[in-house]
Amino acid sequence: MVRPDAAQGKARRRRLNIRTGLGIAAAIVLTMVLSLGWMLGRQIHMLDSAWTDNTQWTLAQLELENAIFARDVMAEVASDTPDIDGLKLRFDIMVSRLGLVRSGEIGRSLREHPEVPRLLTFIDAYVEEVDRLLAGEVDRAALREVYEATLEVQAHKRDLSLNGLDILAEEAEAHRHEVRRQAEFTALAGGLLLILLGALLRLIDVQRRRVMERDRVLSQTAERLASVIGSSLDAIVVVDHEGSITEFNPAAEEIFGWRKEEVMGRPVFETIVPTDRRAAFAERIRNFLRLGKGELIGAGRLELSAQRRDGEVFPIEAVLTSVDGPKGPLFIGYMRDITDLKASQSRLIDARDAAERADRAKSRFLAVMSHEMRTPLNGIMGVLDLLDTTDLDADQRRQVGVALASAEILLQLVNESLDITRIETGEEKVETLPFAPGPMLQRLLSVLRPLAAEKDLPLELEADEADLGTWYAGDPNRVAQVITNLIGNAIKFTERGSITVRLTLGAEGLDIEVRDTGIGIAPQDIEKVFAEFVSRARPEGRQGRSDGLGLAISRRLARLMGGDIIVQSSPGKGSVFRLELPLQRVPPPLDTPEPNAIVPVTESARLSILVIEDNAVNRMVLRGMLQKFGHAVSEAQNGQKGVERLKAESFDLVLMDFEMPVMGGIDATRAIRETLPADRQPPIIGLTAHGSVSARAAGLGAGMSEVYAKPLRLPVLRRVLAEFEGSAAVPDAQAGHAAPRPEPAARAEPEAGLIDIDDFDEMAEMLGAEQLARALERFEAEWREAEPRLVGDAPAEDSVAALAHKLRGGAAMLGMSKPVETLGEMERRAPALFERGEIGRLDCQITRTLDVARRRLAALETEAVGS
Amino acid sequence: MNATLRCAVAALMLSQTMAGAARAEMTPGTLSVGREGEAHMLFDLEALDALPQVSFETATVWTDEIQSFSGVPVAVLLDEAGLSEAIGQEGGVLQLAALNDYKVEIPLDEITPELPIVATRIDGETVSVRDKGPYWLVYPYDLDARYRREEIYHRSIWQLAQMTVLE
Repeated sequence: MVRPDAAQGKARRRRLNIRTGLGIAAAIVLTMVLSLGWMLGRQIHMLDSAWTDNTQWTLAQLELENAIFARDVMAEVASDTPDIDGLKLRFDIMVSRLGLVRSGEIGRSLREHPEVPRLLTFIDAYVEEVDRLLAGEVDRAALREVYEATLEVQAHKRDLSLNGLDILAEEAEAHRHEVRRQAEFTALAGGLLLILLGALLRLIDVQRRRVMERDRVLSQTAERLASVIGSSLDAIVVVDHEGSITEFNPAAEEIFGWRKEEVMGRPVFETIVPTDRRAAFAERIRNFLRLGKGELIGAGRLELSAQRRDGEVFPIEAVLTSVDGPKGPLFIGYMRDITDLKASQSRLIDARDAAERADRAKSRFLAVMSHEMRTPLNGIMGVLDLLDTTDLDADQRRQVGVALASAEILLQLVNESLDITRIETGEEKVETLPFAPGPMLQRLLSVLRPLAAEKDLPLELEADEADLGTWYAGDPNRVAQVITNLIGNAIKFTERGSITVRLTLGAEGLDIEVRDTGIGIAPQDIEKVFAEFVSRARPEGRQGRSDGLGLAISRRLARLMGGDIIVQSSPGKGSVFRLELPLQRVPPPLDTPEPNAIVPVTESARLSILVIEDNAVNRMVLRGMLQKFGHAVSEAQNGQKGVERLKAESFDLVLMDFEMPVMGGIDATRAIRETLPADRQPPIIGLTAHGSVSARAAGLGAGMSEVYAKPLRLPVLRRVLAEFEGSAAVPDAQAGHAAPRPEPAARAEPEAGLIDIDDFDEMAEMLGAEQLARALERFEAEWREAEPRLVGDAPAEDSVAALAHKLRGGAAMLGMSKPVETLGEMERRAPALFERGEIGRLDCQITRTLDVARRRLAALETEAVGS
Repeated sequence: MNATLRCAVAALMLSQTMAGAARAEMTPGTLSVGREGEAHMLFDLEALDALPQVSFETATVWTDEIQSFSGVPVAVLLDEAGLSEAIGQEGGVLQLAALNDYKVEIPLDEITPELPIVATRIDGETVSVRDKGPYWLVYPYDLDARYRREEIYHRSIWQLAQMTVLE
């Protein structure tokens, strides 16, 4: 864009220069005219003077006086008594007249003439002659001679006179010429002056026209501006540097309720600025004037508040700018009443909050539902587990298997919806067990077939007969979870045709395809189906199980197991979901024992276990299971009763339900840990029906040793109990199934009590040797760092409990049972501090424990390499 | 000047005798001062030299160089002749006559205590009749523009012989 200011400025300067130049020229010419005029005046004045006339007369007089003198001489000649002295005087006077033509102004003019000197020489000669004649005795003859000489010189005098007149005429002519020239100059200068004045006049006229044009444009602009301001939908208020209102448009009148005439000239902070902001507003204006900038000026759209005439304060959206005014900055505010906008905004926010509340309510509902479903499931599955341990014929055992598989699916549905599996360890964990995929799929299909039958869909397994006996090391539950999901989806999206599950086994892994003849997926949507909370649109039919999580979780699980899910689909023809898993083939167990045979523990290894659980069915199931293992079981119906029971009696282990009337599991655990003496501190296993990570954290925080989600299955219970039974107490029923474990050789060593070998091994298996070694280092570092603070140099005593707790948690994770005990004692004693001696012993204990743990880790690694 | 001079010349030509009578009074070297119709006081060079002198240097339109004129102020002469009351008198004039009867008039109220003067010497020397002497009424023309006026030139009468106060 061209900068009009600069261009205009340039033009203005040029015009200014022209004008100045013309002015100066006119002044010069005027001066010239004046001086010429003055000179002309002087010339005319000189003409007016008598000098020329006087000279002419003087010259004429020369001849005349000569004539008179000649006559006088003749008169004396004729006289009887000639007056010689008088004659001499008259001669002297006549001669003195000649002085005029010799010197002075007349003389200077005449001397120029070539004839004059010669004439003067004649005259001088005459004067000399007469002087000589009159000097001596003057007789008549002498007088006669004087007379003749005088007559003689008469002609010369006339010549002198005439020459003088010529000269004077020339001079006069020259003078006239001069005057004429001067007059011409003057006229010329006058003409020039007139031209210049004309040019100046023209320039001024042009300027005047230009100014008028500009004036017209300006007034048009002003009119347009006034119209823009007047018809603006936004309020426009202009305020001068003192804060007085200088413009207030109709929209402003409407919004603020003031009429323009009322507010013009009044300070803006007495009218439209809210009462409580007025002081601040005046301060802002002062700051702006001082600093030349402000926080709000030119800051774009702002949300401020303003006040109406009736005192109502309302929200506005405003843009504030400043421009230079005649006396200082002018502030222009463009304002919009956003009361309605704000109202709808707040309605939107309310709506959003309501939606969020509803969402939270839904989550809560889901959580509660999961609890409500889990509790009866606990009963069903527990009873089925128990039933399975009894003597059954093949048919009965198959029926129990179907019931268990159905219950498991139901449990998975609950788990999936809240991703419950995390609760067990705080993170997703994949197990490695030997399993036979073929029989597993057969069982799964037999459970799901009724679902498919509802839509008249055949659900078939395609697998080589030979493959059915092949075993792999993997997590059969996870695999089953994924396949259940895929089949469920296939049933959901298929209206006619069939669903085929194809098992392909390889040396490096296995593929399981779930093929349907359903609606299929458009290519662009294929990846989307794995996104969380995405459900494919269903044309119709019953609402299948779909929380939008199924495929996302399935894929995550598949990847967790090192595999993936691959989709092939063509819309309208159907889809193929293929689970690829790189699993290791393992030899099938030679002698498959009775699957769930339970051998009771020996008398010496028998534990006294307290089950604290409000649900009678669950109590019954737990009691049944525990008694099968050969343990002594006591029961309490809520936390309160459990605590009382523990005060009276000591137990080896407590199984604690979370949700109970009177006193819940968390509170009860806390009560036990806080109030009971050290020798009455059994390990507490928490059982929660609430599938959430926070429940686990709360349980551990309250002092539980471990938390499991309900229903507590027989295998899990078996593992839990094994941790507390003596080393030889239970023959490991699963030894044949489990991956070969190193023999716990360390148990015989004196340090055996320092570390829980089983816990530690499990940890090693889960984390891997490398990570576990790092975890040990981390714990050691933590201990070293914490130690000095535990001695009593701690700046705040209450941190001792926190420190001890944190250390205990770390130690527990690493299976360092002895330090866990000691640190627990420390935590209970807080804020009272351990003595230095005690800390020393603890330090020694931890050092030894770490030592044992590292040796154990080394042994595990060696064995792993060896196998 | 011309008119007056012409008149004087005409008078000269018309009445020879009268001129002769008048001329008898006008002796070169003697200045007669008086009131019209009364006896005149005569001053010769010696008497003039005895009176207070004023001198100045100036050029004139009739001569070529700057010359020093010295002599007696007219006012001093009038005073000396007992005509002090006439100095500055309004309405009255002082008539000055030359040896050839040429006459000019100066208003009495234009005569100041110092100017004009009756010059008796130019450059310290007395002046002959041929050089416009012996007495010459002069103003310091170079001193001020107001002395370079036609009227002043006109009053500068040479070969001065008589000063008469006219009422």
